[in-house]
Amino acid sequence: MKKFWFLACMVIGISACEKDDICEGGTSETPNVVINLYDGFDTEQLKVATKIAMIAQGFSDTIFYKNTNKIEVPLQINTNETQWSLLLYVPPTVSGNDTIIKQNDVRFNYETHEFYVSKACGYKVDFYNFNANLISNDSTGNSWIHNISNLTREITSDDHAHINLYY
Amino acid sequence: MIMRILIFIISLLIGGSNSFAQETPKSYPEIYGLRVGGDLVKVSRNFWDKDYKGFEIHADYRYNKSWYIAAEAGFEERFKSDDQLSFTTSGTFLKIGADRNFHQNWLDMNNLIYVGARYGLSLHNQTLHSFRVNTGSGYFNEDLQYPELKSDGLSAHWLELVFGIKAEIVDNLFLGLNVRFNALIAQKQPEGFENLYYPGYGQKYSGNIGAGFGYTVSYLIPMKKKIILKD
Repeated sequence: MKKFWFLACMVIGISACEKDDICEGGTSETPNVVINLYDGFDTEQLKVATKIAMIAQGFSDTIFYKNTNKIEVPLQINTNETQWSLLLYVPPTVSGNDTIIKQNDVRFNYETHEFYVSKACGYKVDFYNFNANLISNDSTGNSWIHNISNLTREITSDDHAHINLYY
Repeated sequence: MIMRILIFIISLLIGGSNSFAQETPKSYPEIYGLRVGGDLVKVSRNFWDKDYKGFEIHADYRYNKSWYIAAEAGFEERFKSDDQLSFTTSGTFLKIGADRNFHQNWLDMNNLIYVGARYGLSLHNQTLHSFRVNTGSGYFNEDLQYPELKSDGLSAHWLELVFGIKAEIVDNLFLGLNVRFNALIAQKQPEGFENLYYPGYGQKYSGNIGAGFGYTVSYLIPMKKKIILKD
């Protein structure tokens, strides 16, 4: 009898909490485009950028990366195209010089597929027929990216790189 | 009424049937009949939870000394809003099974401490009101989307284990308390979504196990008396 009441109280206690599930992130979130930065002359060699700024076309917020050889670029989920301006900060080589900022634009084209993950995580978007193109700006002489190469047509997770960028 | 509950509690504490055997009369009646009632938690919730509508009625019929055939039926509508989505589930449910009374009553007392099992069935629909795509970065400030997507013809089947008591507080009127463990066995899910609540079962958690409790009030319609002779 005592055991019964103990059990009854336990169950009422547990069910009263209504604890919801927690989203663990990772592959249950919409992935970003993962870009590895390589040396433009020694293309086997990852190259650390001192500072990179990113602004999406039509938006004003800036994302900064510092001292990294990998950047992650979000895509818009309600259109099939997102264009990002990638700005490289070149630190002065001789003291007294100013930091030089160079800019390239990259256009990403893709198709979106939206689907339900779980109650805690909600919905997620995967990207298919993905393609990234470097927009040429030779006229300004301000370019820093030599080349980019697409590694995949599908973006379903952040786990590995989708693009190699050479500079 | 207070006296009856007191006697019931005393009988529980003493825990036996034979303690006062000397004073036992030669015979006493066992009441058989149909007990009907409702769940007080579900009914009261209509008043204090604006996101809930529902009720549950139940009935049991005494089959023999210890066994009761039991069933519950009702309707539930539940709205829930989480960080990532909001939805409403609405529908009816039916549970059928049996209870076994393990309580040895004193003489003509008619209380139950029972363990029961049920097969549960819900027929429901679920509407997805809003959701947000989980983008992690939030750079583009994606808005909530409002599809108002209704999925009809959903169902669920589950098994239930019930532990409860029913105490007769005045003649033929019972107050009860029960706890339930549910195990989902089959369901029909909405396309591109998921059953998140089942009428009669409750909220869906990550596993296929659920739990709940209820307070009941019920009335026994006596149908026949069986005279038990004490030897």
